[in-house]
Amino acid sequence: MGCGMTLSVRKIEEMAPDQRSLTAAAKLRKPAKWPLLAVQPALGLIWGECQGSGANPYRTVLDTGDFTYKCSCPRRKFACKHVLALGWQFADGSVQFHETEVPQWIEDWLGRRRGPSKKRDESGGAKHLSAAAAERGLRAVAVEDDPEVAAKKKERALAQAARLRAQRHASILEGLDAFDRWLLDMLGQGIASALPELSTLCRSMARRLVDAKASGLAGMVDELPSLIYRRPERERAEALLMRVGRLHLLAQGYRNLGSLPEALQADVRRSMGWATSRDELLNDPSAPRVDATWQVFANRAVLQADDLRRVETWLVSEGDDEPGSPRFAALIDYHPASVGKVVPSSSPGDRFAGEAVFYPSAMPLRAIIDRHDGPVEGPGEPPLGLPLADALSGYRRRLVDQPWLETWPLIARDVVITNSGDRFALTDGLATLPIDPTQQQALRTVRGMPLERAFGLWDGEFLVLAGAHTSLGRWAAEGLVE
Amino acid sequence: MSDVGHKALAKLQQAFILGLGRSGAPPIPSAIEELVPDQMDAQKKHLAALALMAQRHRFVHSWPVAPRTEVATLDPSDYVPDGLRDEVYRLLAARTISDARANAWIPKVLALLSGHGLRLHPFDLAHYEYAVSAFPMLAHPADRAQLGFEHGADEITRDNWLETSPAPRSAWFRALRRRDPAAARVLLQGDFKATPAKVRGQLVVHLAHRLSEDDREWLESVKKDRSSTVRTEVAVLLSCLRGTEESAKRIERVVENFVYRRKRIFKKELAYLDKLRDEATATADTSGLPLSGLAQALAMPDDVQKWAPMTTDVALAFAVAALVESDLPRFGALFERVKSGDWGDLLRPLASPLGAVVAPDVLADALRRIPPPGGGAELGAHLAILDTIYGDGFPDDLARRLLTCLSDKVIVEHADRLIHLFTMDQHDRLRRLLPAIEDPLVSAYLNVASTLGPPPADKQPTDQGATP
Repeated sequence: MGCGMTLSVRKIEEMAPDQRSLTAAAKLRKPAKWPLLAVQPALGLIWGECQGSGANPYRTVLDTGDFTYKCSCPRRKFACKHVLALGWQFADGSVQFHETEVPQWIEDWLGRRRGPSKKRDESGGAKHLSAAAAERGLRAVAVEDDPEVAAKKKERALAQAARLRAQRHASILEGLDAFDRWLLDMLGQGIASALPELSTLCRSMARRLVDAKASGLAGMVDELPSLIYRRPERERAEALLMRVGRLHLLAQGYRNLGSLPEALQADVRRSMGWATSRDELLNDPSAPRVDATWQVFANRAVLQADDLRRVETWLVSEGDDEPGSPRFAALIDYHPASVGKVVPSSSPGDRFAGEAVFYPSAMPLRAIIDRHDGPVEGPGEPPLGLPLADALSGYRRRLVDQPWLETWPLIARDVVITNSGDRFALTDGLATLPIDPTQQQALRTVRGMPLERAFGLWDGEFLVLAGAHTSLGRWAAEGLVE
Repeated sequence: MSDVGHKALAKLQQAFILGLGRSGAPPIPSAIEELVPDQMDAQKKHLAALALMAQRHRFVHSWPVAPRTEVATLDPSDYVPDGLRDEVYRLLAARTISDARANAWIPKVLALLSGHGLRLHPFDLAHYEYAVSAFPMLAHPADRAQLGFEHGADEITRDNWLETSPAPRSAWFRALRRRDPAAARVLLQGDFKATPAKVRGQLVVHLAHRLSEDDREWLESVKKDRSSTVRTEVAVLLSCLRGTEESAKRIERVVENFVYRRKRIFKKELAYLDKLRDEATATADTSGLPLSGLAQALAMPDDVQKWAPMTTDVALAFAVAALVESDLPRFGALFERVKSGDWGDLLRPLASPLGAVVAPDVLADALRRIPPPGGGAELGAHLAILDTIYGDGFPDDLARRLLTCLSDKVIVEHADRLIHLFTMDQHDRLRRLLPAIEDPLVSAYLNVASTLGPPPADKQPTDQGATP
């Protein structure tokens, strides 16, 4: 294995979308199948060419830093058997990988990936960028060499962007008026009578909001049926009432955006659907930055009604001096649902050093990793936890500062999963939080087990239990990334 | 909003749920109304009240404290060790292996773990639902309880045997039949009418083990069962008993395929009709039939030495038929006529379910006379015969004979059946061959078995699946 490059067979198993892919990969672990196997330790890359049934071998590359990969095979499984076989051979050290220059096709792939890491830049990765890419850049610079032309272009672009923003804002306000009418109609008829056709009602309202460019609110409306139907029937009307009340609060917040503090404005705008690009965030001097060793404590994938799969990676920083208040970060990626299951690049328990940049917020949580310094070996100390009642109080304190707060991570200590019939809950004997009913199956085998630390995502109604530290080691809830 | 009127709030909430149009709009509690701008129209005020009510709910709602629950104590030594978790997972979770493979391995692994008093790792337990539900009597009682498979007793008994899942039920009944044929028949007889047709069909085939005249009366009584599967199986069993109507019919049909054909100029030999070769073989056609019935139908003399020359396949078919009648002298005489044996023709019918009609000791004697298997197919048949007759406990000399002809290829091909041999510590040769095996199940099992070592004396496993 290359210097500083870590890859384990267990990791390969985690990357596999199913057992069949692993079995197929096992059959490809033969040097004869791989005319080329290469490594570039400085970049953390391994790649190879695998002879398939066609005339040309499949080109496969795997970044051992963040476990992203690319393969030229036509398979619709991610990771495909070629990626798994490549990583497997590297992990078990059974085959020699030759250290060599990064070929053109990998340079192109690296160029297409979002923001190369600082580590890569420092190690000279940029030098490897292709001549073609460099030429394209030079042409762009040449055009912008004329300051007058560049200034005019920039001015036009800014004006155009402002015009588009104003148009979108107006459109969203119209959408919110339609949302109010929808809500009033529902209240007039009665929330209870809306329940049987909630899916249809929400789908149609969500479409209207998408047309109005309020995609964030649209997503929340679209999500309502699944949030409501997970509950027992007798609780649904009240739960729906409270949910739509919260959505109206968001709509009002947007209408009165100017009266809110700047950080809260950012929260409301983001909830409504305004996006901040990665570049904008990285160039925002006010964006909070935290340089730390991070520990992944949960992964979750949610299939949204807009055919996107939201993949969340939840982090907690280590070494926080303030007892009981670790710093959390949520990395969120979106993938088309058509690509099937997406395996997050890191697993619960993984640790890495790096700098996270947080999206502006009254309660910063969503972040991106600006600098990834590579994995940190060892299991690390379990993050500090709080008694359940204190954890819940902490959530409510945050709710004061950020009234539109949805999900917030929670680490409780010395708790146990208990159930009364089919209702599961987390309790420490003094306080109890209900667990998401969809987790019932996954929790059967750990109920009654003492949990030294329990990690969850609390949305004010239910806790999605993501994992725990026990005397038997770390447990990660299953079914959150299916 | 601390002094918000709860009754007024509940009334408003109820009105929202039932419909403002229907129940009329109740007044907004003053504590909320004072937060709403005066200039709002009535409808908007209701929306604002709803938003504030929802936000209030997020702060004040509490959940009843769960009743005190019994907290388990976690002692890591009670569970599969961390180092073996992956291996056990491969063996028991087995998401894509065939049912046949899973059913071959799961009881072995469960028995191995329970022999060491180990519970399945709780973090993986959800993946072992099939294993535990299919072989509950081999799983740790606490694991069963955790998965909700309490389902009666720790082991299969004559009272609950029909309530268990198919694989262990079959194994239990087969073992009972091997041990006590009459008891097994009586048990089946008692529950037969109340048992579903599919299960009747699955169980009645096990009567082939140690089939005897004692079974005849009951088999005759169920040969008109309403299930066609059962009727077919019963007819086949009856055909293996001398003097039955089914035996006579089958022999009559089979002997039509035996002909005397010219060999050289002056000699004739008994042969099996060539035109049927693609569809059947002599040994398959006569499988389970007694030799005396066949000889009588073909007008052969009593003394085998006086029988006409015959082709090898016919000699093998008659040799098998001699075994059905436990007639080892005639088996030996016929066996001598086989010059260069296609032993597969002999082994295949014995490996089939009807091979079980041959008494185990007779079959073991016969196997000792046959040369060790020359290839994978013969080894497979050998193993199937041993499995059919003995279950997991091969006679050691037969196991050693098999070991002499094992190669990497055949080990991989027949890994599921060779598992019986893996558990026999003394077979060093097999263990030496194992590193070359790439079958993940075999490797995983051996790693688990060798790491755990032999079970402690006080926790010796009892193969409840096979010992009624």
